[in-house]
Amino acid sequence: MGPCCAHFGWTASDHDRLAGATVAGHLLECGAQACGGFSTDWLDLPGSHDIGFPVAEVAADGSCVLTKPAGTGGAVTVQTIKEQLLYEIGDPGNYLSPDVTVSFLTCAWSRPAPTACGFPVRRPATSVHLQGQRHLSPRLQGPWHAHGVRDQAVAKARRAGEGVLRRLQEAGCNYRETLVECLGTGASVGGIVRRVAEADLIETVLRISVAADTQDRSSVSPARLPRSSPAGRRASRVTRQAGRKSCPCSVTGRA
Amino acid sequence: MTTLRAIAYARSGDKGSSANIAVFGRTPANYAWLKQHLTADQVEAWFKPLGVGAVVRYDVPNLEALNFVCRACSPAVAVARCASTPRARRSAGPAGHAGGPAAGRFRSTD
Repeated sequence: MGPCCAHFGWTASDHDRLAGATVAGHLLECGAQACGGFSTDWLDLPGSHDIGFPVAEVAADGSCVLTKPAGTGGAVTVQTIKEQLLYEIGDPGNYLSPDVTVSFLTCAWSRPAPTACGFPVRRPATSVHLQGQRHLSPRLQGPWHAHGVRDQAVAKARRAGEGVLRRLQEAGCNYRETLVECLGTGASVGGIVRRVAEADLIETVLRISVAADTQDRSSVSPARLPRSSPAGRRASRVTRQAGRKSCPCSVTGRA
Repeated sequence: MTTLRAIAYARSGDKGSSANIAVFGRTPANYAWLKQHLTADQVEAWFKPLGVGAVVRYDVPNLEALNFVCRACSPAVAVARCASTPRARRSAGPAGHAGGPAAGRFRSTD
């Protein structure tokens, strides 16, 4: 909103334009979710381990074109935009913001011809914090919630876990062991207890574990972790647990 | 048998003490069917065991969507229920871990 007002010279009474920019901001607010990162059909998207962040090109009339950087995963489709438009809202006819009350009931869209996104890509930050448990041996574990639609809970969790490991490996992390487990599927008792049909599970907890050969703190990608995937929305925050020796581990990435 | 996912997709979220579930028809015909059959009363009855109160349905024809808002998803209910089940979609903490005040896990960040 602020950049649009500064750039276009809008005033507080330019309600329609302000409403347009509010919609653009609402779509951008949750990052990669607008590009399918939290879509019902997330499993069908290409490159789900590296979903791009949305870019809104706002015009002088307040309308906008939503796109994403070339070479990133996910997709900007009518579905992903519609999903994000109704994310965390109440009455769609009265979306409240400090600047203007917006009605989503008149939002319209079209499919512009695909064009290259010309926005400047900045280098990502050189570090990111990831909290996990550091045991006496150098290993890191973090559980994520994973909720799916019926039979897709485990599939989405596993895809998210594989995506995290892929991102770490692409960032140069070398681990002696990696493990993706979907708790509830019999992951911890494999070969002993008959596994349940994954499609029967309506929820699971994803646990990702890595072990390294060195005592150095593990490195993680300074770019976007797949935090907007359904299961990997954010790096887990593991705190001290009673009766268990563990400590938060702050991990710094390589440039 | 047709699954719900075959005719609809959905997005849920929460803000403050409210939660919303937007259900979209995959086709105009699907939307018409949903509009006729998916009522606020049905959604309210479905979620009642979770302690969710009254549900209001908002029709969004231009998006071919129905937005269900559960305004009485109180923080008390959320904290009690959300040790491993986020109010709507938020999963701010690891499941089953006792660390930190429960309320802190549900602090909204966006």
